[in-house]
Amino acid sequence: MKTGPRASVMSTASDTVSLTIPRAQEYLPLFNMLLGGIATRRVLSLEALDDLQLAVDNVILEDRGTTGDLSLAVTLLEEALEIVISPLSDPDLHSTLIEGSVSTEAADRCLDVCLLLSPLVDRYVVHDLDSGTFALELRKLLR
Amino acid sequence: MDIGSAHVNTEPVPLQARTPNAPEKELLWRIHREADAVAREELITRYLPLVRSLARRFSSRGQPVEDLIQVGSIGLIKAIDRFDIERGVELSTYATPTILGEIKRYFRDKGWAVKVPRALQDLNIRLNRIIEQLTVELNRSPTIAELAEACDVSEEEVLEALESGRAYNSLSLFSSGSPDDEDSLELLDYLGREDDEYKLVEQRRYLAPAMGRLDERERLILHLRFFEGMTQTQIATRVGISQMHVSRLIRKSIEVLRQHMVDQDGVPPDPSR
Repeated sequence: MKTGPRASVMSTASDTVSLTIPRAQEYLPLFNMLLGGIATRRVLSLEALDDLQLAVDNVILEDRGTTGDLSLAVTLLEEALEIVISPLSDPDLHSTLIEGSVSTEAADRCLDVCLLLSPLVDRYVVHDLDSGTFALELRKLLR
Repeated sequence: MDIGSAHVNTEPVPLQARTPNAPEKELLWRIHREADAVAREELITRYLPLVRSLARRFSSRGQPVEDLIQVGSIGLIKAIDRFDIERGVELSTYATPTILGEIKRYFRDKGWAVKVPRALQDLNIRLNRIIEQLTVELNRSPTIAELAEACDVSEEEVLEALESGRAYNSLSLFSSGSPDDEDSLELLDYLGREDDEYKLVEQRRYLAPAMGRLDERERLILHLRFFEGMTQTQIATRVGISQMHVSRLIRKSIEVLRQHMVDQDGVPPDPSR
């Protein structure tokens, strides 16, 4: 059963806005709208916003075969935006993000993803989660 | 082809129905003063070669020329019906932009991959121009708030228009991102100077197999963005198109590359995506 998007705002030392959507094409633009709303409030340039949206879109599209809901959490730090996409599970995506190019089969995808992310975000980190899934943290400095 | 309810006969009209020797001004007088249908038909027939000529200018842009002639013919009829015989200009002068406008509108409507409200389409087009203007004025990429103020709309409307703009087909004819710029495809001539950089891109083994699916400009833009680290604004200036169009072409090119890799892997695309 598909569920609709769920949003929440958590106020901690920093502010985090999160949104959970069904993993389907028609809901993905909601992530872009969330990022756009954050960009507006943090005076991010249009180009920086586009970079973030492109990075998020591509990571999600590279995570092939994963089912279930998908979450995006955006944390507003003083000098950066931290974006966490989870859960992801594609093993090729995981290995290439962590190790770079390892196998011929994965090379295209790995280099493609890594190559894409490099100019779009300032840092990305993979966090392993339970049950074989992982989260990808993207960080974009506010310049 | 759905071009509305009008259908224009672009076949030659039988001679007996024509008044082939009547001067153009006389035909126009008869149309506008006497609602003379034969005169109107005659004038349409006389101007069909102009419609065909204008339609053929768009022949390489993915739509059947016959469809474009039909659309252009609607523009011709509008021009004839709206022509003001008191103004002292030639019908051809008035008809040409009207025909071109109708063809361009057709492409513009065709360019939207999903149904997007007209107001959002228009705002998206306005944003194209405003973004370019502000980028020059501010010497940096504008913020959403600045765009909203410049367009006199809310920030949410700007975001929605930008998002809906992703539904716009990058393959459409408006290479500059400006639907009013019919000469924009001539940019490809400029790109011929970038051969060395294309070769460099081709040498990247990991992208080479798929690069052949992209045109020269797309390859150049990917190279400048992901290998040279240039910003979209810098690329836009260099290539001579808008920043928004650079963004669209990057997305489209990546999608082409991704599809190629999916094909190579033999993994069928997820139907839910």
